[in-house]
Amino acid sequence: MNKTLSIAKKEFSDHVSDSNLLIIYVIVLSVTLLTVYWGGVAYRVQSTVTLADVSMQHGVIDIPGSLTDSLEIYFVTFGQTVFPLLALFGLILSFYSVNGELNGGSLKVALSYPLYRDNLLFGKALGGLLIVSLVSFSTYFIGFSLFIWMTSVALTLDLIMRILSIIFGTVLYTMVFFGLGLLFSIIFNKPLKALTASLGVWVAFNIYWSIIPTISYLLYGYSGSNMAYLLQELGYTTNNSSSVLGRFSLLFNIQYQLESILWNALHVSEMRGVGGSLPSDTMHYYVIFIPFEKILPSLITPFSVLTVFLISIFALCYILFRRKEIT
Amino acid sequence: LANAFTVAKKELRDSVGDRVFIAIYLILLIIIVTVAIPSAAEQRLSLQLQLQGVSENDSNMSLYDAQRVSASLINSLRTLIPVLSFLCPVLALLISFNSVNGEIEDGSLKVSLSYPLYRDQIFLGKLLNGFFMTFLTSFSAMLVGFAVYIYLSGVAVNLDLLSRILIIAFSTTLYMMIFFSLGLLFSIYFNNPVKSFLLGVITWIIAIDVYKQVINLAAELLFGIRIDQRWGSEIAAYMGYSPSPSNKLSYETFVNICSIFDVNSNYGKILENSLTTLSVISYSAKGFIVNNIYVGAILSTLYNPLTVMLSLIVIINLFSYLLFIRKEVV
Repeated sequence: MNKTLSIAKKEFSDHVSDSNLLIIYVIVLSVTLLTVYWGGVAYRVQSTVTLADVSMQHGVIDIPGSLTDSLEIYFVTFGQTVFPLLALFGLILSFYSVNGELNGGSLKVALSYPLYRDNLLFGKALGGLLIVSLVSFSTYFIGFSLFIWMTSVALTLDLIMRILSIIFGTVLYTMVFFGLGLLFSIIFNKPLKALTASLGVWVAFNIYWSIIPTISYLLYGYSGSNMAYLLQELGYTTNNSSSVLGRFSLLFNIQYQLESILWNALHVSEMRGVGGSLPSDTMHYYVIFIPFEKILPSLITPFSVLTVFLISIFALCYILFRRKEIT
Repeated sequence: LANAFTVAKKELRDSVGDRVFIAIYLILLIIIVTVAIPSAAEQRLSLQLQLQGVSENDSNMSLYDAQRVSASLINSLRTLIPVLSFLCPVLALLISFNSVNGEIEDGSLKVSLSYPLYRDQIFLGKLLNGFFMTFLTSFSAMLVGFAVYIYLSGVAVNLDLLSRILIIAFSTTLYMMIFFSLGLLFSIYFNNPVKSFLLGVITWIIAIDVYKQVINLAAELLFGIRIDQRWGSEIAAYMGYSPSPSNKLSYETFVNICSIFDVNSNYGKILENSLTTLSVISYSAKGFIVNNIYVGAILSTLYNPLTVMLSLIVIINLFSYLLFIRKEVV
C-alpha cells in the first residue's frame, strides 16, 4: 500500500505541474464562472416573480413550471458546456501516463525496483483520482459560491448534500475518461496515437446521438416528433416505441448520466397547479419543497451506469497492463 | 510555383495515406449518410403532405406546426448542421497539426531545405495541400450525403438545388480551412506535435462552444440587458421590465460585431440560409401561404459570413507565413 501511495504522490505532483492541464483547468473554471453567473442572473429575475405573485392568471406565462425556486434550470448551460471540458481534462490527464514513461525509459527503471505492476497501475489511478477530485471540488466550490453569493440561496445541509452528490458524480464521470486515456496509453506506444484515439472516443460520445434517429427509423418506420406529426397529418398511426429506443440509447450517454445527476440533485422544488378546469377559471399555483432523500432513488441509475463504465474500463486497463511488454 | 506543387503533391500523398485521417473521414461519411436516411424519409412525407395541400388548407394547424412540417430542406436536414460543425474542424486539425513540427522532429524539413527550395514554396505547398484536402473531403462528403438524400426523398434535382449544395460544400471547405490554418500555425509555433494538437483541440472547443457565451456575458456586463437567454425575455416582459432603446441597440450592436468572428455561428448561418427553400406565413382564416425562396434571394445573406471566413483564413496564414520564415529549423 505504501508503494502505491508513493506512486500516487509522484503522479499527483507530475499532474499539478503540467502546463497543458493548467490551461484546461483555467478554461473549465472560466466557463464555470460564466455559465453560473448567467444562471444567477436568471434566478434573481425569476425569484422576484415567484415572490411577487405565486398564484397567477392561467395562461399568463407559458412555462409556469419554471417559475419556482428549483435550481436545476439555472445549471443547464453549465452542464452542457463544462462537462465535455471535464471529459477532455480526464483524457489529457492520462493519455501519456504509461506510454510516456515507457518511451522515457522510467517505467523499466521503476519495475526494476521491488514494485508490482499492480502497485504501479493503482498508484496511477489513485494519483488521477486525487487530481480529478481536486479539480471537481474546486470547480463546484467556486461555481456554487458565486451562485449563492449572487442569489442569496440559503446554504443548508440539504443543499450541501446535493452539491456533494454532484461532485461525486463528476468525479466518477471524469474518472471514466481518465480510464479511457489510461487504456489507450497502455494499448498504444506513441502518446500522439493514444491522444488521437482518446479524442476519437470523446468525439464519438458527443456525436453518437446523430445515428439514433436512423436506427429508430429503420426499426419503427419513423424518427422524432416531427416525423410522427407528419405521419399523423397524413392519416397514419404511430406508437411511441421510438421513445423507448431513445431512452435506452441514453444509458450509454455518459454525459447524459452526469447531467441527469445534476438535474435531479438540484430539483429543489416543484410548482403544482389547482383549479382552472375552464378557461375562465383562475389557476392557483403552489410550490412544494422536495427534500434530498426524496430525490435519492432518481440518482441510482446514473450513478450505477457511471460505476459500471468505470469498473469495466479499469478492469480492462489492469488486464492489458499486466500483459504489456515493457522493453 | 512548380516546386510548391511538388511539395503539395507529396503532402497530399502523406495526408491521404494517414490512417487516422481516413478513419475520421469514414466516420464523417457514415454519419452524413446515416443522417441523410431519416431526413430523406421526413422530406418525402413533407412533400406528400404538400401535394395533398394539407398545410395550406388546414385551419386547425398552428403556424409553428405548418412551418415545421413544410417541405423546406432545413426542416429535414437540421441535424446535419451540428454534425458538420462539430466533426469537420477535427478532420482539418488532423491534417495540419504536425505538418511542420512533425517534419522538424523526424529531420525531413532540414533535408528538404538543403535542396534548392525556398521556405515560401514549402509553406505554399502545405497550404495548397490543405486546400485540396479540405476541398476533397467536403465535396465528396456532400456529394455522397446529398446523393443518398435526393435518391431516397424524391426531391427534384434542379439548378437551384445544385447551387445550394455547391454553396454548402464551398462554405464547408472554408470552415475546414480555418481550422487547418490554425493547426498549421500551432505546428509552426510549437516544436512538440502533442502540444500543437492539444492547443488545436482547445481552440476548437472555444470556437464551437465558449466564444458565444463570452460575448453574451461581456454584452450583459456592459449594457445590463438580458435578451435572448431562454425564458429570460418572457419573465422580464411579464415583470414589465423593458430595457431602454439606446441600451438595447448598444447591446445588439456589440453582440453583432463580436459575432462576426464567431466561426461556428457564421458557418451555421450559411448552412441554415442555404437549406431554407420555403417560407410559410399565415393567411387569415384560410390557412397558410407557402412561398419558394430561390437561391438568388439568399446570396446576399451569405456575403458577410463568407467574407469573414475568408478574411480569417488570410490573417491566420499571413501570421503562419511570418512565423515559418523566421522558424529555426535544427
